[in-house]
Amino acid sequence: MKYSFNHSPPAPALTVRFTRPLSTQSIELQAKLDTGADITVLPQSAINEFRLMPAGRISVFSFNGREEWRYTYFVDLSFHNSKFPMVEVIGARRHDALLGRDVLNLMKITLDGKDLSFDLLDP
Amino acid sequence: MEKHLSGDVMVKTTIEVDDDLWRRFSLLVLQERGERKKNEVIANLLKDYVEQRGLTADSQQLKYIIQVEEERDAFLKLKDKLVHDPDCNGKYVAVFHGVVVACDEDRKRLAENVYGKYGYIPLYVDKVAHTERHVEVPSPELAPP
Repeated sequence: MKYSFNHSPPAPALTVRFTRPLSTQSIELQAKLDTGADITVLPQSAINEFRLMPAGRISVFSFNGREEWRYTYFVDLSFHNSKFPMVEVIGARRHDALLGRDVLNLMKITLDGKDLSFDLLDP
Repeated sequence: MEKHLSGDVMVKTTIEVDDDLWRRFSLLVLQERGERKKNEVIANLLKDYVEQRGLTADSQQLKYIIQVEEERDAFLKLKDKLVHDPDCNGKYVAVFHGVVVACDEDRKRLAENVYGKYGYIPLYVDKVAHTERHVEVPSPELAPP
């Protein structure tokens, strides 16, 4: 897969389907692979539109050490042939999603920065 | 409470702030915005604070969030007892209507079981431990132009 040129510099990103638990209601979003993120992040607008049920509240530290409280939600997530049910996510004011290490650590990922391409395998 | 021209219900409140901070704030607002604008600036600061954190204005969603806060309060009250319970300590628990309805070592399985049993409802899931959970999302991004 090629890196997304919607980011500068280009970044590994792919289309991910998020499905509301116990329903068929789903949405496709661009998601950037973020090995620095402990948890997967969804646009808050998608959470609101989707009417996801809050299921917790956690403390989140950003790059500058700033701490914020965020509500957590469970959502089913799928891309290519891989499905990940009940992934805990938080919301943020952004247009795309971030795939954190909670999901990435379940896959084999190869990043080829020279070629601006990546492979994502579920071995 | 009174009704604003926009139809929004307005509330009057009182806060205590440092005297020096208030004088500096008043001076800045006077310089930048003119007379009698402090209320407007404070209202905008409050609005930005809430919106930046993505807290919904949707009344139904807000109701769910308030319910989760109540479940969290119940969890915090129960926590000491749960930590000393060998069946729960170190595991994830789900709190619904103020009581622990399930516990499991696996957070995903816990959510699946609880939603399967009670439906897709607002609940509070947390780990029974002495410490609170923290996560990092450290990637800095440039704001779009």
